[in-house]
Amino acid sequence: MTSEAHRLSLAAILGGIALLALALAAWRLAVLMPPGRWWEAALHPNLDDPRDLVFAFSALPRLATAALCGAALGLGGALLQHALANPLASPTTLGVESGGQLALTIAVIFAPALAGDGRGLVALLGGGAALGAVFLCARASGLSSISVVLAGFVVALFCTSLSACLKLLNEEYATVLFLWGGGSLEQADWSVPEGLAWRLAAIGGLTLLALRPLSILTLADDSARALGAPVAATRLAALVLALLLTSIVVGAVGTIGFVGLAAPQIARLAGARLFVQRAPLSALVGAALLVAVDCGLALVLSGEDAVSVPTGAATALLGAPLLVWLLPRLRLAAAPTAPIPLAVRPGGRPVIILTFLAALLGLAVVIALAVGRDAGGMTLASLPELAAFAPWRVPRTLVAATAGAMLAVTGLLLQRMTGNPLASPEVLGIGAGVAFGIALGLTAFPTAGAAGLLLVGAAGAAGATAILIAFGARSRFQPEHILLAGIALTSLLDVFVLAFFARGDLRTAQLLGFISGSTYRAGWSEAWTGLAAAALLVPCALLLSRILDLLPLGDPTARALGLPLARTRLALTGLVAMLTAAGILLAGPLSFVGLMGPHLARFLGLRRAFGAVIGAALIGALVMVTADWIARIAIFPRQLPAGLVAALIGLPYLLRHLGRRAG
Amino acid sequence: MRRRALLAGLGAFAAGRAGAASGSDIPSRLVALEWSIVSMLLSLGVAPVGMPEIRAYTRWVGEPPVPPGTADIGVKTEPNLEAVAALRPDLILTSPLNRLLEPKLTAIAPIREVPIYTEAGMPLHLATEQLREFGALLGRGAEAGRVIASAEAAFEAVRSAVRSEAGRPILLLSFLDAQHVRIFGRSSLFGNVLERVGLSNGWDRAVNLWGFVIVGLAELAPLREARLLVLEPIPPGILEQMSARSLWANLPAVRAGRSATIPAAWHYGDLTAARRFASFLPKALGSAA
Repeated sequence: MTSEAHRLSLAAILGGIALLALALAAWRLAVLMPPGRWWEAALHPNLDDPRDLVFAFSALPRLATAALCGAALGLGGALLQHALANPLASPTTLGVESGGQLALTIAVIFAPALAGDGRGLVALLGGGAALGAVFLCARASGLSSISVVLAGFVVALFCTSLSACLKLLNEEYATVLFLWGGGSLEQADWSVPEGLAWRLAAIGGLTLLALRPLSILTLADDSARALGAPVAATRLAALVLALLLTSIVVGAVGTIGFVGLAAPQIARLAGARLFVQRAPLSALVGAALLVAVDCGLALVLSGEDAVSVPTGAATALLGAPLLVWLLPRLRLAAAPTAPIPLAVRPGGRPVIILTFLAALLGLAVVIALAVGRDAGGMTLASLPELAAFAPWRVPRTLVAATAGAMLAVTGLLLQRMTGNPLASPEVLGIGAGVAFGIALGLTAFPTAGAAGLLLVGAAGAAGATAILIAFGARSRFQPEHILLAGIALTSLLDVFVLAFFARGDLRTAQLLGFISGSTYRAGWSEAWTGLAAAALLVPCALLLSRILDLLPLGDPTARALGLPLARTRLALTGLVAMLTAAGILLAGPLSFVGLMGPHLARFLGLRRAFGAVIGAALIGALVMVTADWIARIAIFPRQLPAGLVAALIGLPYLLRHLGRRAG
Repeated sequence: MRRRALLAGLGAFAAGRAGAASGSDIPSRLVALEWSIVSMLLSLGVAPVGMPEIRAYTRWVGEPPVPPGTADIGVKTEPNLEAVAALRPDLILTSPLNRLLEPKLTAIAPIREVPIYTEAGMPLHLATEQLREFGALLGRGAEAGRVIASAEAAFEAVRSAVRSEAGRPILLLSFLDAQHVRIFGRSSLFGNVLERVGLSNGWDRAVNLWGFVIVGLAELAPLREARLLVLEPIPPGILEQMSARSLWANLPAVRAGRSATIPAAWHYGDLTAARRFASFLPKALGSAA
């Protein structure tokens, strides 16, 4: 596929990975037991020697689990990439793992009986639903590689945020759920690898038998159909097999990120051009990769640290750089940078539309301030009561409004910059940077106040933005590259945030509250901060509106009109970073307002950037104020995170909207 | 001791502590933001007007039971401030975890931080101290004295009942899943109790602020002499899943029959939880002997 692939020989790459895995595994086992005693300790462990116990009942089953899970994910990834003709497809990037994990979280809390033997089935249902959602989302863009991955990322974010909310409301389960979700390969007997072995033997065997029929998908659909092959049925079969393989793994050990992406890529790089070669090779490479990561991790970490960084999260340390490295080699640059046709209702009169939106926002604010709930039911505050409620309701409403406005404008900037309808601040990785900063802050300064946390969060946002700009500069601010770098960055930073969660610390709830987008902590200082940031940054976007009108015309046109593209993109990236940091610090990273705001603005007929910026800002504010109000009263006296409510409103809308545009 | 802030309005109570607390000076509308504080109040016969997550409290803590009429104020980490304000409390009792909320809470009512779980790692001592101070503050000095004396007597009774076990280190753990356990160190509430009744804790590695640590089961293997006490609830199916070929079943302590389960008690609890845990010790250790 690339020129490098020709230079690297199959034997060198595969041999290298296999050797690495074997060496690390041998080293890991040798630390536990002198090699001369391996055989004896495995078959006839001396039960009075703790080293034999650990070797026979923990280290060996863990090794087997790693190999089996890696093989299953490698094969699953190869199937997905083959079926979708998409080199970025994998159980991780398509949201299959997150969907399965969400289903398992729901099962643990609401139907613990299902969470026992039925785990695989539960994961299958969740993963299947997530994959379906991804297809619905990406259908509008003709299932292009980048759209599918972005849709997968959005769906994964949604599942993750819903899981986070469930944990927040069921704090006593949080530690157990984090252990599950993280993909710990720790074992204490052979039951897990045995269960995996026979399930994978069945599904994997079926896949290997079906390799030849499946490989017709390599042909262009028309030629395959001309040969009388049932293309759709074959593709569906490949997807179902991949789903089954992934669910078995998720049900057994939780989420193992990126192995399903990396293994088929490495097999391809090694020169396995035909699917019949690539599929079995991917399984082998996957097994070797996961064994290498797991054994390496076990060598570095022990005791409580090993629990903090589960293997399934640490694989992102491998996968995220790989994703970044793959980007320039995927010929994404050749993908159409021409604007994706955007549905616009003709004849919109900006002034009328904007006035209408402003009135609607005003109404929402009044309702948010006046209508509440107490133990008796819904209440409408009288004027004197309003004053009493002001300290509780005004700051969070202001924070919700300004954060929503800023995130929506960010989304608009990103969508105009990239011509991609799924671009949004949520995928940029800045949210993960903020979460990372706060997790670090809570660890280093457990007694830090709100201001201190805000500071470390902002530092995290700045760091993530700097990385993003550095990366963007290398790829000349190619939009797809920045977005995928954002995804990679998010996955990488999430490893560290997860490590923080797994400590089982009560402070996790604070971070959870932030991550799921809670406006709960908003006070007057946050409210003024939000107002100031929005008043400063949104007009900047208005100043750039001419550029925003030109960019979607495509690079050549924009250049011909005298736009210095690289500098323009740098300026826009900087603005996007600041808007995202401010919005996310105030209202959490998972609102999806950045996706919805610009969409609705366009749908209402706001075509020119100037009106669209204002419209998106108003819509963003409207959505977040409404979401915050619902979050406050829906399950009184408990409260939902406003960002999550906004996401719950937003995802079905997006699915419907994007899906309909395709039709 | 890091007790902080008897804020505005509490000076009066501090003064009233020397003389007998009388009449209207005693705060009567209390909101507690943490279950251990709720439990302390209830053990003195004082019902808070508001507390977090009543249903979950009933499931995880259980005793003393919450009297009807107590208002639910939402989750522990994000108490509903409108609901708290609507209760018109005259004192809000907080834990160090609520520090970020202090500015907002003081706008509703005076607050008093009740530190039990601190870096000092002495939750049992602090819970006792705090209970004594609650007694003085709430005009329930006699009740507090009785509760503390009866707990001390119970600890002494347990101490003499388990004297024969004093030499053997105990590992106190709970199962999170089939591969991971939470181990309670010396600075946990139950670790404090073990020490109080003359038993020794077999875990001397690092623990977190709440006195516990999560590790894989393999970390138990080297601790050959220990006796294992497994706190309930055990996730369903886990012990049944431990076949003869599992690490657990082959741990020296388990093979020698030195493992037992012990009924649930709230591990972030107060003196009531500590006493409840202690009361189960003789039977758990006796049946394992």
